[in-house]
Amino acid sequence: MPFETPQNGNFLAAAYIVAAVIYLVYAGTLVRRAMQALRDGGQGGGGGAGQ
Amino acid sequence: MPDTLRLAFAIAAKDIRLELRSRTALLSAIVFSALVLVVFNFARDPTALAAIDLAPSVLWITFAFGAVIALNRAFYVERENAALDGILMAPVPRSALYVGKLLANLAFVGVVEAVALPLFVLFFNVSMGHALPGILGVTALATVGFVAVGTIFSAMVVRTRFAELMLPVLLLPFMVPPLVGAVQVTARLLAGRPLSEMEGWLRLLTAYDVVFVTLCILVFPAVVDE
Amino acid sequence: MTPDLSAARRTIRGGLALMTLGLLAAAGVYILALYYTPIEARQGLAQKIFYVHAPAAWGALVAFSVVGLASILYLWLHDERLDLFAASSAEVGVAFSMVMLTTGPIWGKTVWGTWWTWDARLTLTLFLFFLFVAYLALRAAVPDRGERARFSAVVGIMGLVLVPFIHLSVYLFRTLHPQPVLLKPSAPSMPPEMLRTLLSGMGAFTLLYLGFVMVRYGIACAANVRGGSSNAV
Repeated sequence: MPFETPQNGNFLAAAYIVAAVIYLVYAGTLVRRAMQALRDGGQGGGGGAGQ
Repeated sequence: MPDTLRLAFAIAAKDIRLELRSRTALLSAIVFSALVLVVFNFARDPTALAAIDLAPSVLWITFAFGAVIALNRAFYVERENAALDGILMAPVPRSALYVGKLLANLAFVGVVEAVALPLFVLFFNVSMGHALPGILGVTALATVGFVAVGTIFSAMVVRTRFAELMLPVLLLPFMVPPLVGAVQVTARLLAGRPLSEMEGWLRLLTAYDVVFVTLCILVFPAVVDE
Repeated sequence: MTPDLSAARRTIRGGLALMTLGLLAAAGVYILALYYTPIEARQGLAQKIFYVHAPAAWGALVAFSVVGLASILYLWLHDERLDLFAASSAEVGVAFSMVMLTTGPIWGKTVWGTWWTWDARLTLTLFLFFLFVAYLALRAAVPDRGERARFSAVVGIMGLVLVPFIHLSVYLFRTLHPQPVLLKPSAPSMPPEMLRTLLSGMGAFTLLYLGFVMVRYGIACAANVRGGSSNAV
């Protein structure tokens, strides 16, 4: 049966971008918290842990 | 072994007596279920769907939410009476404590269901007759599943913040397999289908009950002991 | 600086390195997927979503299994580190399931014409997502460290046991309700470029998972050392 390859590049872009955003944003939150953890010396009260 | 069982019954009896005295949990759960049924009635378009098509879902959603309400209050009885700590200090086998709680909760939820079912038949004009024993059976089967898991979680959340919110958040995913099974079996019972069509679902329900009651007995000590 | 804190910091630093590596590898997979793999004739470009979607699903599953396993081990060994590790894996699991649950429907729209279908994998991942969220919500609601660890472990184990039942429910349900046929390249007939990209994707995202978890675990350990029992980690 004859068929045309559908033109759905937009969906591909959307999916790839959404995935990248989720991973990068999550990585960002980790980096922020990691910097806080690396900076703070042995003080009490880990406010940074409460993301 | 029989000792543990007797202990469990004693614990259950105590809980039931306590609740019968104040009755608030029971009454609120019953009223809630009735309201849910009323809302369902107004929320549907009677010309679009026959009552019988929606019936199993309506019934089971009502049962499910009624159960969550009933379970939410179950451990409060204990906590408000500060009785739990006393029991824990005694050398009571944790399995007896869990089974006792389970039986008491089954009684509570059972009462809520016993009231909701006739209301359901009344409001939705569903003729049950021949299907009734089957429906009672599947209700018992699925309810054990809900309540087994609900008992553990309500024991946990009673000590947390936002307890009323935490219980449904934790419990609802676990209620899905018994719920799905119950709706499917109920639908077939109401349609008078042969037993063979429900076998898979009934096996699912039974397996769920066996597995989760056992699991809950095993993990309950981790919930109540330090 | 206490030895525990320095160990935690080493973990964080190692984790950050691993995570960066994972992100670079993931970027590499993106490039492979976009330029190296052929376009599937029937589905078009959108089929390439598969190379990001499948590893995400895999990552969510791995994350979940780790939570379950660590929970069992915690109840057995009572080592707090197991609890912190489980919590870290749960958080990372949320990210991976979110990716799976967003790329899935986007792809699904092109293949099935509908955004959502109760297909086995999507449904299961949805449940994993809800369980992860419930697990993390519970942790946030329990102030006492020991209690939090115990309760989380119980939920982790129960969640693990729930999964086969969800599977069974979906299977029984689907044999009644035929699902739209999922057009996806099945393993035997997958051209080598596709297979290679898929495997690279699995590798890259597993690396990313490990990096994420390591950083998160390190942060949790550091907070654990510093704070009292009130740290919700």
